[in-house]
Amino acid sequence: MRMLFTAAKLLIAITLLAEVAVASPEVDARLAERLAPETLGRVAVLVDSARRETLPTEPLIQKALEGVTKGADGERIAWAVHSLLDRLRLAREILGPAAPAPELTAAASALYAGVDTTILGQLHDATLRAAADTSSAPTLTVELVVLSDLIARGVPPASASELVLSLTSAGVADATLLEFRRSVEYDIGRGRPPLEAAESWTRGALSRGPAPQAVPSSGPDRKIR
Amino acid sequence: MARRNRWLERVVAELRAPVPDDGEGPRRIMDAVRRLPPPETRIQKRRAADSGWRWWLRPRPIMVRPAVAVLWVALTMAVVLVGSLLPRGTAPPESVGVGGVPVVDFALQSMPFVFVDESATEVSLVGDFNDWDPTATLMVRQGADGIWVVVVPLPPGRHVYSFVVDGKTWLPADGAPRVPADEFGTPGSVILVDDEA
Repeated sequence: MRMLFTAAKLLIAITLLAEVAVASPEVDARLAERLAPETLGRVAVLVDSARRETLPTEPLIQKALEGVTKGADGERIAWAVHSLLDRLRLAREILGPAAPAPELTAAASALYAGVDTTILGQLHDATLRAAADTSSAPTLTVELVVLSDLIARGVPPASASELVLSLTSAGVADATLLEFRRSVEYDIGRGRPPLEAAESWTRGALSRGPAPQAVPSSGPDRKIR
Repeated sequence: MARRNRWLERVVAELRAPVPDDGEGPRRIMDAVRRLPPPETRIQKRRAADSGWRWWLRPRPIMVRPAVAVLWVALTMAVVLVGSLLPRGTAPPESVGVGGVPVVDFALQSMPFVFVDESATEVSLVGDFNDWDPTATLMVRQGADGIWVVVVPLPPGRHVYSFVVDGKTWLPADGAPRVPADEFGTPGSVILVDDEA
């Protein structure tokens, strides 16, 4: 009888341990090394949520590490990771379950920049249509990177969205979009108002006029082979 | 009462009437018995009751040694624990390689980064490819013109990065796409790496 009681106690203990192990979120070693315990707990739960939802977890981990390096406090880091997770969820809702990680992170960044969810859906649809029409159609990741860049340089989000959408709908290639972005940056650097520069170069690209002049660049946009 | 007696007398008379005996009576009886379906045994009845899905519902005692039961449950829990420690979900496989650079199952591509600052004494490259570690990727000064260069192997995709000058000033790259000022208030740049071999 005593042996039965002992066996029952052991069973209960093993079951409880297993439950705790299964319920605990998986903690990334890099986070464990650099985050304060309280922040680590909050961030680990968010990363675990993303994993369970099959969302990419690496952007969340990187966001937390970025915050640590920049000296942000735990509250801000947890908020930034939470905010990014929400935007990744929203991006997947709009772009669909098959959207690859670079597209999702680019979309999350664009949403943070102020791009409207409707525009994001329209860009996605226009990209699909363009891909069906031409072989050199733009990719959504490049479109979103260019769009976020325009906004970061001072073009109002609504106008920037409209301009990039018009280029996407016209089926311009990735290389053209990136060239367009460099041209706008160059003009803004020379003192031209951001919106005016963006509108001017959009008209040029749409009218298939002369190719934009070569613009000096000290940083790689993209390695194209 | 008289009516009932008459009925009883008829029955008795019928029973007392002589029965013709042709010698085949026992044989006919045995033939009739043989034609009857065989009675079900207890085992047959139990098997019929246990057939199909009824087997799963019928309660039955199980005898197990406590030590064996504990061992069995411990093994089951061990399997659950090992399963819980494995990566879950269908996110792309990611791991960390030397120097904190994320390693994905794609071919890495060597990407050059250039930064110009004559007055800088130290410039490092930080980004989501080196866990934002300012000590992971130090840039090398080329000549006296303040040109800082480093080549980093990157997996295909979209990467965010910044330059850190003298350990305190965060700057984006000129000529590269920017990301809007982030949640931590510093600017960043984006590099896109094609997945073409």
